[in-house]
Amino acid sequence: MQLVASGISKSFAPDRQVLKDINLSVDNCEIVSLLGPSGCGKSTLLRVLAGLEKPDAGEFSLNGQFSYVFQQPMLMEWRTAFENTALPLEINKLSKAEIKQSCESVLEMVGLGENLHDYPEQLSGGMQMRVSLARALVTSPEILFLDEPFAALDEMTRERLNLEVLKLKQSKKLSAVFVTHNIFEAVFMSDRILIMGNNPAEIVNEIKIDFEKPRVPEIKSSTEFASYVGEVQKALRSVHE
Amino acid sequence: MNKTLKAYLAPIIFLLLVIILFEAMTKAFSISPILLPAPSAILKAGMENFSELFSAGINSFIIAISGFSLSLFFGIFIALIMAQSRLIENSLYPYAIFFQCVPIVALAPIFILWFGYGPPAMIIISFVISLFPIITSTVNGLTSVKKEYLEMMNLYGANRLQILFKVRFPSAVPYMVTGARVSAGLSVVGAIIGEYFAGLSGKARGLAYLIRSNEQNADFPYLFATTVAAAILGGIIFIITGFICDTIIKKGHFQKRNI
Repeated sequence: MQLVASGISKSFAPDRQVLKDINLSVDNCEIVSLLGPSGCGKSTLLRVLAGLEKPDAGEFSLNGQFSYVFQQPMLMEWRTAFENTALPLEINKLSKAEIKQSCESVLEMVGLGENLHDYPEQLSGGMQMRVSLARALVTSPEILFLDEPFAALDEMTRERLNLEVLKLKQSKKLSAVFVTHNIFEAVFMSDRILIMGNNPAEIVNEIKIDFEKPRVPEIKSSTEFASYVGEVQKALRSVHE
Repeated sequence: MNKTLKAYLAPIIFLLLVIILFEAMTKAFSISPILLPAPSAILKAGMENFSELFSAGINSFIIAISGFSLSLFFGIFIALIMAQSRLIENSLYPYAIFFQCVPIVALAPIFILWFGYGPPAMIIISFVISLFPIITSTVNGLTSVKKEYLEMMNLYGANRLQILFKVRFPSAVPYMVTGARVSAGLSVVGAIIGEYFAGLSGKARGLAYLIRSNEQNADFPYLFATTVAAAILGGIIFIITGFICDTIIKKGHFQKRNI
């Protein structure tokens, strides 16, 4: 088990509870999506798990390294793709040679081997997100926290990055907690989808996604995919009612 | 014609038109040269006294650049200290704002008391006038860093110094540049004012001294030429600073801020 959290509650004000008694677990090499109406607290839950917010109650245990990917690429505009990726390693005072080797290989992996020395302004939105992903991966984490990282991208770029993450999951045995409000993305990416309710957020439903075939873009037009989407939509509708 | 050429040419043509109009008016209405010498007379006076004007300009330039360099150095230094804690910032920042509104001229006699007549007091006056815009803009830059950058640095386990030099300082560069532009202009004002107060014994021989002596000698075309030289000095310093600032922003790939 990679991550186990139990009884997590969080309020921003006495009358504004955001998270209520959340229990969740993420297995090795498993992608779990948090899906729910916007403003329901899914991002807050992710921030609690990453230690960016303190929960009022509950506890969680995390095995191994994690990385957090923000909604925006959050690249420093005065640093090249390479230098942005190197940031976490610089802070941990790795040697120049180690930094060079890790950064080049991880940027190669996300398909930016040719753009090492480009500045963010020279990169497209999708490429910037790849750098952000590379920066998250350079520390070799076991689990990724992804906070709607592809929400601002066009459909084509989003699909390519989704495949990228799935590939990494296989090759690096990565786990991920993935916040999204895109049902299709959630079904395509996840091993499990947790449906969150509104005000305060609780996990109201859990849907296991288990395709018979490997996850290639073509399965998106299968009846199996459509029936999963239908199931998720139904679950979300019940939240709204 | 391309756009940049137009952008440079238009104001130059406008200036030429204004000069021609002035020249024509002084001739047409035969305005007394005591009130307003004709541009041709001002130009002639400027040419005749070029070497004196030039060396006075250089002297004032040195005073202004010295004051400006001091305010850059100390301004950024003070801002770095102020940004170290909320408490220090909250206790000092209001005064950094307040001092921008203090008529520094009122303090000039005190500086003369401390530093005596001559260039040191002039440099200090130029320094004090141009200091506060640097402090306030740098503090603004150091403290208005994207929240996510700071969260990210905390996740990486960065210490205060790493956050300061890897995030806060680079984020503040565009703000410093804005402050530096304002400050550069003020340093020239400070150099001229400083000389009126501390340099009239003739030790400094800058533009203010020349303005005052031309006034006393009733050499009005030369007086106007000196005033024009002071304006040109301000312009030169503004353009040099602007060029250096633009280069820093461009070469360092910092975000451009609109002033």
